[in-house]
Amino acid sequence: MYGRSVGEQIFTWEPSGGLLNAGLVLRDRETDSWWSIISNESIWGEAEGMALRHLPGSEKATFGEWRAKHPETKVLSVDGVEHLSESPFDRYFDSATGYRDLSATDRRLKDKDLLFGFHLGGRAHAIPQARFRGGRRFEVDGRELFLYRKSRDSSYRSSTAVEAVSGARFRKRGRSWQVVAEDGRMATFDRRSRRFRGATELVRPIDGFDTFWYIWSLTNPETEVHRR
Amino acid sequence: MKLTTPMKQTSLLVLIPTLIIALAAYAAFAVLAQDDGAPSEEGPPIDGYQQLMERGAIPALVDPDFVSAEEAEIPDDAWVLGFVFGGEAYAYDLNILNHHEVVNHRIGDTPVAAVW
Repeated sequence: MYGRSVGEQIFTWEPSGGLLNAGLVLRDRETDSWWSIISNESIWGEAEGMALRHLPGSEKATFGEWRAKHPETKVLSVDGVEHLSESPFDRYFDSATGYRDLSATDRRLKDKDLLFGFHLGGRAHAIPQARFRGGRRFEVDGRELFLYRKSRDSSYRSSTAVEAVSGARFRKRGRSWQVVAEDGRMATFDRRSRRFRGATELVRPIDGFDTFWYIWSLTNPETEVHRR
Repeated sequence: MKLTTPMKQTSLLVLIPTLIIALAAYAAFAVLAQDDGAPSEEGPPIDGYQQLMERGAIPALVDPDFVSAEEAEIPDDAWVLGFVFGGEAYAYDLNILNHHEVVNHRIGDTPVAAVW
């Protein structure tokens, strides 16, 4: 999810009809500029260099799970339709090759390896999803991160990715992950809701998203891959 | 020198059509390259960019309708992009997003976009 006000302008985005290394590229109706989701900024035109602004608070889940957490949720309705049963991309997700046979030049991971990609400290970072199934702590650019997926998660589901704030640290006690502040405040990770319960002010979401290695690495060639 | 040897005849047979094709390609490029002031529909000249279809071929949504969970006809196992903002929750069916890719709307006074 993105905020559409960037600087003093409000943008209305639509698909450009093109892709940058198989990643979605948008155009805005106000200045006709191009925006890359993977680069996280406008890449061409009057708005070039303006950064996209992520809004926290989104996740991909089944409707049943979402409604259980948010009974008052509103549902997008297009011409009276709230759900389509067919996805044109199922074969693409299941295949080992990239869109139109596009392939990574950087062979540190396989083309269709799924990862969580983000930018921190002026660098691009990638953490393979396989590294944080069941939850794992990472230290990146001096920051304390926690990422979580279940091994059986659908590739549609978004990864949980949070950063500890106020000097708090992640630790594992038995099967439970906790985040603990120096003053003793603590929150415990609830695997069912995929959120920390307790002192929730100790964590904040990381701006990033799940994608394939070939898309991420072609657009972020200097990316740092975190395997442990 | 007479161009009568088999090798030179073959060279001419290859060279002349090649020149004709090259000239035709140049003429077509010169017409296409004329700047009429309109934004290029070929996309920005950036390595890795591919223009696959016309802009607007995938129609973005602008200020669409939303219904309550009770009214919505959507199964529990459908995948959605969920979003909470300002105390309000929204769900966007991923298969509908596949057909539009961008949903531009407002939550209160805040303009937002769901992008998939």
